Amino acid sequence: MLKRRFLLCAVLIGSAALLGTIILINSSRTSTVYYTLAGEGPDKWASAWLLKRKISAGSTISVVSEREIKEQNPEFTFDVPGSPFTRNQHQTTFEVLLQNHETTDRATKRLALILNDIEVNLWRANRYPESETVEQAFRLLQRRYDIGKTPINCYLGFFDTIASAIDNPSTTFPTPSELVPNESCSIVEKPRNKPFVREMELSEILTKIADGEKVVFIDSREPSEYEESHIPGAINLKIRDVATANLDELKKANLVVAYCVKDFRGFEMARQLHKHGVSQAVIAKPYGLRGWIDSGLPVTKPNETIALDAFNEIKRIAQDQLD
Amino acid sequence: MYFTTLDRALRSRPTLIKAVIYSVASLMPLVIWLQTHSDLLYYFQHETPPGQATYIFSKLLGFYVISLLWLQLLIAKLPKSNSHKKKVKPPTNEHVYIGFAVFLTIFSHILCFIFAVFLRSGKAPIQLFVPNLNQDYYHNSISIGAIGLWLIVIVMLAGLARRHKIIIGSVMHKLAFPAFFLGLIHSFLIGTETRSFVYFAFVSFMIFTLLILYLYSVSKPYRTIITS
Repeated sequence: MLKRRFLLCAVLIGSAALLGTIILINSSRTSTVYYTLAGEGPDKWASAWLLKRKISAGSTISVVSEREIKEQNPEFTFDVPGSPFTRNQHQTTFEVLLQNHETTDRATKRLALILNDIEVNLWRANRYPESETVEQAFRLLQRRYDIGKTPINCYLGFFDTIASAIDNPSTTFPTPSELVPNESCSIVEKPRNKPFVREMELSEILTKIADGEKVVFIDSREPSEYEESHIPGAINLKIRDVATANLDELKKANLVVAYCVKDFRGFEMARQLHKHGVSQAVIAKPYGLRGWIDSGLPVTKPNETIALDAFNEIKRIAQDQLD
Repeated sequence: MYFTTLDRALRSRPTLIKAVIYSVASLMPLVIWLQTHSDLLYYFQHETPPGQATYIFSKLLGFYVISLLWLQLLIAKLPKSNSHKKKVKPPTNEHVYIGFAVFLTIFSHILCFIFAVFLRSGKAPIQLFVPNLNQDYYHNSISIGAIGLWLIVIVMLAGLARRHKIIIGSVMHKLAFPAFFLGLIHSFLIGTETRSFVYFAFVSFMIFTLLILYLYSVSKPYRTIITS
């Protein structure tokens, strides 16, 4: 009796541990991306440091163009107009971020004051002794590389050094040259977990359509779902049929976009297509038919005899976007 | 006559028969799942969209729900050494444990799916707990699973009532059969792997064994006459 109970407990604990591990692995790989525009101010890069080191460990900072930034969720942008996390008359972006993500970390709080001194308190004397040193060191770091080419890792290393210097008040604050990280910071590690199936922004897919490239949509849902609505021109192909399907036409296409409702199946379909030689298979972002509809793009409804109109509508939208 | 032979066979080698049933129930879901996800290392070596691994794991749990339900129904129909003629039979520990495992697996399956969708879209679709058959194919298929879930909740509560010798509990506990078939329908409608030959064979085997044991259990009075 006791043995059975022990066995049951072991099985339950084992299952819970397995479940927890898988969820943790998945969560850890769910990297949040924060978008910003190119820029040279210390506030921007200190904010990037704050996001990566203190607010969202494991997140990625992506510098994008003005057109691309408009397509992003403002909640995931910083130091750009229209973002809830951008500087105002009295606060730096760093301080705005900090306001939304409270911290008790002394170094971070002190860094916020230093940045305010550098970026906002422009016409008055510095309030904190470290401000001038930090500003000089920041410019020294940027001079080492061409304008706009300072690697993000070097900015992060720079603010790591400042934070640890603030954390050690017993020692004297470093000189500007001591704050600048050595050149090894510019060596970017090759990412080990390179995505196998690329996620392509819908805007990029539409641009390819407008450019006249052959883009094929593969609907990986069940036929009944496909009949209800689908992306105009999409081919219904189930994952279980990939191995036996004739994929020659797909191999000739410039781009193959696999999808389902939220791209859980769509992603598996793209993987299967890669395995069978369709190396240009991608999934779209925002994900799936849901993302497509939410982006205001047309779908073919059941018994629609003018499906071609919907496909032409995609081309028209794509062309508008290109113009 | 056939059932008398089956009765003898079931009673002569109970441990072996249970070992076979347990092995099938624990291995088949894994085999079916691995058919599509044979390269599990992929999810550890490559970056995948948010929630993908959780979704894959949720599918495995879904297969285990079906398998454990089958195991439970089958074990309940097997002859018991301590069988007696009371209207309300007390459940064996084994029955309680498997029932608990079924419930835990169902909830893990649902929570994994909801968590996967949350990671993917930022929204947790908790409305899926409420069945609504007036939607599109995909959501209707999920609703069928949700009805199965609530039936299982009733089955569990009925099991508790049965423990307290409430006869209606014993009747309601039989809702486990429709719950099992709703689970099967749910899996067939939206499961990618469920239209494969292996799954079809497994489902056929499950239904066949259940049918045989059901007929075996209803043939009990006749068996007594024949054997006496």
